Amino acid sequence: MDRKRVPGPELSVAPLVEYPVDHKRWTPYGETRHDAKRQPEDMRPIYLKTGLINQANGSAYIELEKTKLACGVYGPRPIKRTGQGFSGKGVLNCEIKFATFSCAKRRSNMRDPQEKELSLIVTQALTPAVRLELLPKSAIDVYITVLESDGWGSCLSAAITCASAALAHAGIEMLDLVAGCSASYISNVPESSSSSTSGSSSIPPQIYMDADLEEEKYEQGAIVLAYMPSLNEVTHVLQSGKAESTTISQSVEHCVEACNKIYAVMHHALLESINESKNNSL
Amino acid sequence: MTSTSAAPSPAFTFSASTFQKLHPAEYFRKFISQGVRPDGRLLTGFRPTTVHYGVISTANGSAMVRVGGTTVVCGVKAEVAEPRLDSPDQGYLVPNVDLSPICSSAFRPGPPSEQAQVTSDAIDRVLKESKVLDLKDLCIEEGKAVWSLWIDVVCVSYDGNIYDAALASVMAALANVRIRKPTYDEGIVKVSGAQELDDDNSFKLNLNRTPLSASFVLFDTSLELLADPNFAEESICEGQISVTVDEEGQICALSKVGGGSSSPSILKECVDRAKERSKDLRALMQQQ
Amino acid sequence: MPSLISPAERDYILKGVECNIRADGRQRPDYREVILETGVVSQTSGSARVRIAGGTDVLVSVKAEIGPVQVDPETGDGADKGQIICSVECAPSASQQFEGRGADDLNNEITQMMSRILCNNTTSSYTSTAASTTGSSTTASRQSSGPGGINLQKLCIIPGQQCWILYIDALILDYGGNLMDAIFMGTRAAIFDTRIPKTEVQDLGDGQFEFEVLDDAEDTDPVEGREDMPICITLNKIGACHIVDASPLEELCTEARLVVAVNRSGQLCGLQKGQEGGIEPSLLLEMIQFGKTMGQTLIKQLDTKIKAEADADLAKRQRGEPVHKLGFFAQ
Repeated sequence: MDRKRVPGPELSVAPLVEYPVDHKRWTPYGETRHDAKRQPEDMRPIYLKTGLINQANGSAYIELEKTKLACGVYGPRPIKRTGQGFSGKGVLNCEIKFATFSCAKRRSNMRDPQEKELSLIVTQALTPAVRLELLPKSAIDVYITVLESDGWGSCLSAAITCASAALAHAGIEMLDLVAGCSASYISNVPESSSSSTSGSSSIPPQIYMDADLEEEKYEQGAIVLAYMPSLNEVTHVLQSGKAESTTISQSVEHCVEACNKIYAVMHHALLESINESKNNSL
Repeated sequence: MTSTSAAPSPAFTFSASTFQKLHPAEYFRKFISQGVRPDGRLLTGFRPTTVHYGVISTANGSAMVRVGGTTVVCGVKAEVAEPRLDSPDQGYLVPNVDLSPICSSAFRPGPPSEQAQVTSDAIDRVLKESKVLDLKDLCIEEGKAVWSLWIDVVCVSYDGNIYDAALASVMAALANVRIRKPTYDEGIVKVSGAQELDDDNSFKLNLNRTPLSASFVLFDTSLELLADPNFAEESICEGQISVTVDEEGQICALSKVGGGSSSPSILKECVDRAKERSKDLRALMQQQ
Repeated sequence: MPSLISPAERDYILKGVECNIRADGRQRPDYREVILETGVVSQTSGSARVRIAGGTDVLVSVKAEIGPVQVDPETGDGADKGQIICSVECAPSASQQFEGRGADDLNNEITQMMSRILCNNTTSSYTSTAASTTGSSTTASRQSSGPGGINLQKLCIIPGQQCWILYIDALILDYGGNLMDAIFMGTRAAIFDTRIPKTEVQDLGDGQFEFEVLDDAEDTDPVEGREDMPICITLNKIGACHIVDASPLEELCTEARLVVAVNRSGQLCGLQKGQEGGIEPSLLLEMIQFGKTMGQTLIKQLDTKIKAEADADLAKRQRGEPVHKLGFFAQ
């Protein structure tokens, strides 16, 4: 039992949701996407702002409509753990934490395996950009808190984008900014009608950029790509679900394109923060 | 060495920021003796405060409160649980404050820090002892199912006075809560999905009172009272006094933690100022 | 499992890869010899052991157990599906670094990757529930499952109540590089080896059901959809080239690692970059293509071997000889 928190009931569950018969749920078989505004290749508008956490060396806040994340960077600071021996390179340590109220289902206060894995993925995606060789014996801690998540893929890609902006804001030397982007493969044809025409594999699925949670429920697969635009290097790729290789190469291209757009947003946010700090010091 | 102030100024001089780093307490004392604080506030001044409601759509109720550099987000999630045997018609209120390492270098990953535990506990006591909410309102089926309100406060940015900010966010989030009306059928609680939330298919919480707090720190032996301390002030000062009052000016909680002594007159002053502050804060919360 | 490498060694491996001759004489796209056995642990529903010459030794076991179905409260999805639960554990004997909690991160990384590739069955969750409520169970069962291949609907015993849960446990006994490929080969072989007892469901009316597990070792079901299970190919980018089946030292020189999961029809079932380096987009696409072709060939070879093994067991059984393998670890 957790004695360090105010205890609640041992077991609590979300109530069962019952939809009325006439309830119309969004499906990908119609004309529009879930928000009825976007084209398949459109992302949600991104709001990115650096420097909202006073005490952090660098920080950033990102919002893609409902997806909301905050990131704080602490360091470079001396490595706390002893016994690891000398390390000539710095250590980048990313930790992602979902707020308990961030998802449809309440999450536990404890770190779960998914959070551990996402932390590792963000670390792997950012490490190629950071010049750790310049920071021997030190650690950079990147903490990401997900306040609200609207789709797994968009949440992970936003975490990468946000963390990379926060690292830059902290003044840590980097080769390039890393932009993260997600895409989902969603079939436009209902499963039952395609079964008559020798399986759904004959019709390539539609690639929806930056899918939200409702769209993700229909996805056959999804890809998250982290990319350094100036260096033209992919720093992370994660694909889940089943897809033909043509779909994948197409979606990689789409994502690279989208990352270039995100890059511009990140640039803008960082320039703005410099202007702000200039104005403040004047 | 009684005439140090009259001694010629030393040959080298510091910039103000260097002085602050070398002698934080002395730096601070210089300001206080002039009746202002390093961030420009008067001793009695509170930092600019903003409240936003309904910021998280995955929660049943939520609010973000910003007090100067301290930003907290509170989300309330309603889940179904079995009631306690001794109180078969009462729901649960479970407030927890998370001071995660993102908000300050003072906090490390792992289980809740001491400060987080103290704050969670203080809010828990205020909610329960001043009967903010009738727990019977949270009953779905007596002895079978009740609502459990998980009230989680996440501190995104820490700059002192977490208790005031967290309590304000909890009260704002509770005022923002909407829960779909449940139906109970043979051990299964169902809510209807679909339509937009309105008064027919959902209910709001009936809050008996809205306790809000004001915190002060005691500086130095001179026992100067500083309102709404920021992180730097918290770390320099010793005793902290928090007064929680409701809209009728009744005291819901009063705490004095840390070292340093205080006198009844100081406590009285705190209470008076807290009444004023909570009135201002309440007005701010009702604006939206 | 070495954790450090000298600059000279690194240089040797780098140059070798560049010249297409690796330290152990292989070329870039060459695998080491793989030894596969199935049915090695008698207490399981199916098991396999994969060894890669050079050290890697993985034991995968599948255990079928009966448990309650998991239903998503929001969508009602999952009522007619069984479950697959993966877990990977590195034995402390495999490497000094795995002692204590040293292997936690690695265990978690591989477990999550396996779960994503094998258990992810989110595909068209709404269409399947819609189909089952209208009573056309044929469309529901035909439904192509997610990337994992295995038909989870066939693992359901009583919809909304009981189902089979397949626990796939991989134990890493020794580390010699290229864990992922070995684990996935082992998993495929173990699932092919798995027999699930038949069940008989009785309708007691009034929405009440009862079922019985038939206790007949000869009359059991194979796991449906096992042919469509993916395997994965790990490509290691060293310098400007990429190699397969890296040895531990080569893994230390790896800038970026790409795991490509592919099924027999050449569909990609998962893709994940690992390690702390980047890949150019054009090289990434090339690596995906390469992994896909490589994977399909490997699946064919693997299936031949699995079939040969199964046939040999069957022949033994027909002759009345015991098929239990004893002392496999000592071989």
